[in-house]
Amino acid sequence: MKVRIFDRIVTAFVALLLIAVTLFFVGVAWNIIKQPVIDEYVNAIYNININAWIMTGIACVVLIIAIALLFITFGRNKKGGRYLEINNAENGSIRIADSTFKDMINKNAKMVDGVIGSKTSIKSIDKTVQIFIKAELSDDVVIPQIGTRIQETVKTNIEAMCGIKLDKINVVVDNKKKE
Amino acid sequence: MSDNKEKIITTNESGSINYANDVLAKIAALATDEVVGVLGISGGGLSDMLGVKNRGIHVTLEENTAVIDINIIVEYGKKLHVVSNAVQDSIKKAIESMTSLKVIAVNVNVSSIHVEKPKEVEEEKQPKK
Repeated sequence: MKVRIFDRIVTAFVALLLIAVTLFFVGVAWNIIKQPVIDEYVNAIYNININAWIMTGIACVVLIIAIALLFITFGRNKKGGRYLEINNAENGSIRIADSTFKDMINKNAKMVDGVIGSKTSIKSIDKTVQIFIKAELSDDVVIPQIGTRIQETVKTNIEAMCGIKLDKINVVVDNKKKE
Repeated sequence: MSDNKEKIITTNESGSINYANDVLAKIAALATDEVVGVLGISGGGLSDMLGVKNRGIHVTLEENTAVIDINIIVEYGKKLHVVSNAVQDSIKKAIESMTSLKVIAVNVNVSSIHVEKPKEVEEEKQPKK
């Protein structure tokens, strides 16, 4: 779901940019946009009273965002770690996307009373898959009890829904005190 | 999606039978849609948005055999391995009954899980995104 909204935003932005550019060129072609006006704008840009360094700084930030976008576009389909294998039988293999798997774990962790937030990371250690859940708890809870409950909830539900056996579920408690 | 649009799969005395990859992808897609718990086939954000059909299904054809790779979206709460197994069976049966090909493997990737909103139960199937 997150991916789709991001895609929409980027595509909409590019589309709007293209519309603006085409309108601009049509305006220039038919002399609707007159040259002196453009000259004025160009002059204004040159006269903007911002330090050259600051402008370069802003430009760099935008450049980095643009390059990152390029990487995301072309790098997204790389395999390596994106999918977790659930089953490999002779009729084929079944895999689940990393992000989806983590989402499921986080959802389950948050079902436990007292868990405010949850972030999961998956590590492959010695051919076994280990889950690290970073749980943010509310202030007055008993930590070992909640930890155990998170482990049990996640283990039961994920094993049922995905058909895999979870070897180790590590819970890390992060208790941020809110002022 | 694939390099060759067609590949010569079967030759007999009468000639040869070619299957366009899109044909097999479509059979696989329809077979998958019938499986309970599958909300859709995901091709990746942009393809879905632009409405490109049959993204998310990759067909590899060799002499008389086929390997299918498919990305699916599963309904939250359904057992993923059960749904995926059903997809594997459904695609295998469909392609093997409608063509002369043998399906060696169906590799299923569960790309995401969505919560299906309860809708009025209607007779016709609703087109799902």
